[in-house]
Amino acid sequence: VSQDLDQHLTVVVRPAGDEIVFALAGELDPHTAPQLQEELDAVRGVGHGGTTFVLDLGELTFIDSSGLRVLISAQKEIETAGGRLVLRRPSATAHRLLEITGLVDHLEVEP
Amino acid sequence: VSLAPDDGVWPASYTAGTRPEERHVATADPVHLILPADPRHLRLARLTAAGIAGDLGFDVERIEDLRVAVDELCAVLIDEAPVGARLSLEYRVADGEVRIQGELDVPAAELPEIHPVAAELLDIVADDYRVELVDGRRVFHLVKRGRDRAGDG
Repeated sequence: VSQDLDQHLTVVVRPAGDEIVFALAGELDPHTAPQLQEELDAVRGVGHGGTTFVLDLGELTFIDSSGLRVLISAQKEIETAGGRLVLRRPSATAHRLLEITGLVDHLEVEP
Repeated sequence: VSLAPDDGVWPASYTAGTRPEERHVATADPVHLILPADPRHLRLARLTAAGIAGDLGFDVERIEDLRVAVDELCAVLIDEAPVGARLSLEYRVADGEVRIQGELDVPAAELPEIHPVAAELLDIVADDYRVELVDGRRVFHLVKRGRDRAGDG
């Protein structure tokens, strides 16, 4: 579990079967995007090539381009290693941003 | 201050709740916000923008657009800002629009490059924006309308 001191973003990481789930709650912006990047970097080395990394975005209340960039780079790195990145149950805010940027067609999004 | 529909402030989509003339808008005067130029405080810029747009009756999507737009532009201005720098924001309401101007209070030789993802997002969520150097200081201007102009879209 990681949480910045101001509680802008909480990231809870837990294994779930063949998946590693990152449950995000709060805001993903230039202040907190490095925090998520660090969490992904720390855990990615643990998974084997075929690991599915799930970002649960259900409690995400804000995301901007800095957050989108973390998602985009994570997908590239995970796929290069033979794994999958899944964005699960994005909040209305997150889903709208993925939609208007067209990223919903390039990232794997599950309701 | 009470603004009636004829003032042009109320969006066409405004129907719920009290009648427009019963809603009192406290944002006719400019709102000023001064923040340390640190990403930690961007949420305050977003919160203020959302509050003002909400008072104007912006729908949820336009409020979300405005939150993203002001966040992106503030992030551009404070990019690699020195410790102790401050970001000044002025929020104005006019003609059914929220207009925000931001300025970093330290001299800058050049503007930071806007990341392509941020630029793409700004083109979508802002009705109008620009980032420029004014007297050697980084400044942005942002406009978000409460509804489409006649003939738009």
